[in-house]
Amino acid sequence: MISIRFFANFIILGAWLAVISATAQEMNPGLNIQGSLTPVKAGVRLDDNVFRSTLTTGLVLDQISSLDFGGKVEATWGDWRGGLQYFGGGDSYLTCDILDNLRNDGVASIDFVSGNLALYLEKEIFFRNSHSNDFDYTEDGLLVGAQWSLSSLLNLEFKYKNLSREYGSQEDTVRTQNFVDNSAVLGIREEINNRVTLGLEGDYTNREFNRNAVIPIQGLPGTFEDAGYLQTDQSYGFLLSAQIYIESILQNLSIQHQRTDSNSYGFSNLVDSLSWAAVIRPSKNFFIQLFARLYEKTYDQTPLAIPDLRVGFTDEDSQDLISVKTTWEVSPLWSAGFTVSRMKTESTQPGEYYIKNVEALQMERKF
Amino acid sequence: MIRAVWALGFLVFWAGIPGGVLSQESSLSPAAGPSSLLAFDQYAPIVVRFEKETLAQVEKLGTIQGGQAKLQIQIQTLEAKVKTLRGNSSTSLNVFETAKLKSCLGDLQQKLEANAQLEKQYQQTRTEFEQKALSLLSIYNDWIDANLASPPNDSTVSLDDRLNALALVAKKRSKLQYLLRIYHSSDEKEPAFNPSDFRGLDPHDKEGRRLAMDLLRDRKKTIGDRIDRLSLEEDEIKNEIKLQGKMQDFLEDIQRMNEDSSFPRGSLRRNDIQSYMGKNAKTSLEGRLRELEKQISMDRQMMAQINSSISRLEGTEGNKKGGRL
Repeated sequence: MISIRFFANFIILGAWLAVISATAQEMNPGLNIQGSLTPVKAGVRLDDNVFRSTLTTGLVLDQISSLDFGGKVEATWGDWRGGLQYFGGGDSYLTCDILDNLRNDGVASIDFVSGNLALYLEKEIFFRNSHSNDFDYTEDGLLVGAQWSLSSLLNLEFKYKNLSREYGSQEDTVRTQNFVDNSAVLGIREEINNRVTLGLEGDYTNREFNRNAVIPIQGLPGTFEDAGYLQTDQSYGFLLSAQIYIESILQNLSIQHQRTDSNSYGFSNLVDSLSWAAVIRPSKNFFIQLFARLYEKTYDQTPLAIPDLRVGFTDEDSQDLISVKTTWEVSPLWSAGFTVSRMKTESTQPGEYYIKNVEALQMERKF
Repeated sequence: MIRAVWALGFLVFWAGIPGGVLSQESSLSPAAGPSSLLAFDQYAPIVVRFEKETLAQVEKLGTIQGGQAKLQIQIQTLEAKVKTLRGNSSTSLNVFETAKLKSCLGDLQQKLEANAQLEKQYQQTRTEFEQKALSLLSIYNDWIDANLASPPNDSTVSLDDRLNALALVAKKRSKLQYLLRIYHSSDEKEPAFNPSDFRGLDPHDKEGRRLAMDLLRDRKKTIGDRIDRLSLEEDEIKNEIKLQGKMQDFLEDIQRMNEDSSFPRGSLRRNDIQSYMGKNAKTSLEGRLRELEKQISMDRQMMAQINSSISRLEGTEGNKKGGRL
């Protein structure tokens, strides 16, 4: 069923791109419109812990087939540029079909670029459909930003994003995970020389959940009560990144520090992470990509053991992670990749972690 | 219109040459016709002025040197007379001898002062000459660069005219360098230079061809080295752009791993800053790549022109030898 829907989406997308491009060109010769398909990726992967068990005895291995595709139409008219993008994708689990999921992502954007100033506005709607309540949700995002090139080597960027996530299930335990984010990021990027580029970003996020905060009852240790107001987490962070190209090896180094203050008990925490990525090209058509991340998270207090209040928002990244990918460009349009990853991530049980090993094989066709 | 301007500039340049250091080029009819319109127009007025001034200074230097030589002879004669008169000083000098000695010493002092004055004038003129000559040399070099950089398929100028002009300027440059060597060395052991050597320069003679060939071979090596260096840089930038694309794909894979692993995906950081900032870095590299490709293309055109010129010169030499045989 999923395959049929994919195929239908793909055909509709191709026809839509062709018709939009041709029609608009005819209507307004001064308007430059281009439509294109993004690469199609098809793959299969083995995941040895699909249910994220913290116990080695509870590991469930499954084989997942995946497909990703998309397309975009971009129009330029003087200093203005507009774009419509669509990305579709999905996973089909061989045995644990409750985890099957579909992704549909639509983005509309408009940019204004004049001299050394760029302004942009982006609206995004993302749907993820799954039989599993935790992974069946919709996101609605609005991004507004400005980029200012102080010189050819120095860029300053500011952006604001409003994002809301709403889960499909109407069960209370699921609806409590809905949230609204209001975030701002200020970034500066400087090309030190033609080998090294440095970036520094500072960010602030205010996240309001669709549930009331929980606070300890005075005089009764270990007991908690409804605070009567919504849980709000405020995060402050900075990210220092460096991109280095030396000896034909491209490396990316990131250091992140983030402090989260929550008005609900057990959610305030401190995160430090260090990640490193590199791409090597041993031969003309062969690439090796490496990624490693060290992640340290410390809670102010021991979190409450209520899984429904923690999953889905306490972590947005895999934590400790190591990944190696090899890519072979078979031809200018076709490439094949094989990835081996191992990740260790915080579970919904306080103080517990689970480990996943994933091996993925992927074919990509460009257009 | 452009051709008319070039023609005017070219004629002005060559018309000015008879009064200049590298003068009497009116005899160079094959190179002086309107068909040999090279990139002279922008250099013409300043070349005429510098050549005139440089020649004037060379002639002045020659005049001063001539005056100094005459004075030197007179000084030596007077010194000999004084020495002779003083040689007789073992016996007391009579009144006439004393008066004669005084007169010789007075003359000698005057000559020495005049010589010192000339020496000062010579040094000053030489400094001015060096400045002018170096500027003129720089103009010649610029002209040679402009000539070699002009499109090889420019139908308004034949290859022979180009080569004639090149040989002529190469000879001028060589003579000027020779002049600079003469007047720059303090000991001045170089053989004396006669400014009349500049008159009647012929671009068709063996020396002109040899100098043009040396110039072309030297330039070919320089451009070849530059093409190699720029090509290496071009390959590195292409490689970096390619690796950046792979890095971007890989980081997106890592971000997507959350989704693939049944995690809710990230919200704020997905795509945003990386795409805009990353796009900027890529644009910067692509800009540099475009510049390099343009430069390499120009250098390759120049190389093709130089190769063609070398072949023509070699062919001309071969024909001459064949004709002699």
